[in-house]
Amino acid sequence: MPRPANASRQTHLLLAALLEQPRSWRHGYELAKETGLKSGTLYPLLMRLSDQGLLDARWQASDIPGKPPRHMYRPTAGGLALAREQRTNAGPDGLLTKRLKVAT
Amino acid sequence: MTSNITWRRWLTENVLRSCAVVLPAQRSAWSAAMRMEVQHIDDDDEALRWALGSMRAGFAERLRATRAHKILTFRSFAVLWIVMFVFSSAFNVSIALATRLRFRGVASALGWLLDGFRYDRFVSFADAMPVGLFLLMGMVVMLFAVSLVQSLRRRPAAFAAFCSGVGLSLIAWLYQLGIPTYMQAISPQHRWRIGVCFVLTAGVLCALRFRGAVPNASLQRVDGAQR
Repeated sequence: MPRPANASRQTHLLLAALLEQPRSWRHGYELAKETGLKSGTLYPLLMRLSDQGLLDARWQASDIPGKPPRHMYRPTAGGLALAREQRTNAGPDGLLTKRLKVAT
Repeated sequence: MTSNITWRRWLTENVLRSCAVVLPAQRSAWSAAMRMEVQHIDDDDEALRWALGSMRAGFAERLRATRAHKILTFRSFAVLWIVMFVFSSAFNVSIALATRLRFRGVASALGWLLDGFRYDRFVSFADAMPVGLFLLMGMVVMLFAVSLVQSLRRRPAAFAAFCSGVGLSLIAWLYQLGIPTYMQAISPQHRWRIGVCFVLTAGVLCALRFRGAVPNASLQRVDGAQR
């Protein structure tokens, strides 16, 4: 039986991290630090979620002079709904919540 | 490379530049995102790790974008086949040369991959090999390498270079068979394997030649390129 989309542990971690601050735009490095995911795992997930309309992405100018703009991410309404659904399924003391606490 | 850029930072930038090439065109915004993001990471080691991870993501995306039927083509199998010959011929000349030059550690390490290898027996065989045979084996490696490069560039010359490599390789092997110490140095099973490999290769090459598969495909590509 094929595994449903967005069912991987890494996707759960990322969605849980996005759900922590649902309104704010976050950059990739921050999300990587928070979830403990490496860039090689994080970027394909971000691309996939963006393709599915679960993630918004935009460029934001840097506050630090001389630094280039950054690509920022924020969950869409659909992404938030999915993240909430997954959190409900995992439960308050689920593995993902624990993993996120460890990563942060 | 300017003096205030460390080699790690230089490598990071180059890895990400390569990543931009690897990623499919529709993902160009993401390759820009990776490049920009790394400039916000102050630690050079961390930045390099980020870049290498991004590169992995780039390859994963490229693989995902390439459909299976495009990977499993005649050409990809042919390239894989040539790669095997490049490694095999390079291995043969390396182990013989290492033994001849008494690099025992290198020869034994390579011999570990060879069925029934015994350094003391191989020494007498390597010593009996004339210098010309080493040169011939070197030429075989060169021809297979040329064939590989040409096939990656989709040039018809790849087939000719490969056939020449196989021909010279066969001559070198037949010459080795004539050296008395060869029989003691190489196990009968390994000799059989080499023989079967030559027969199979010759069979496949003949089939391709008489069916006209390779030259026709090559010509079509050349015609297409000219049009």
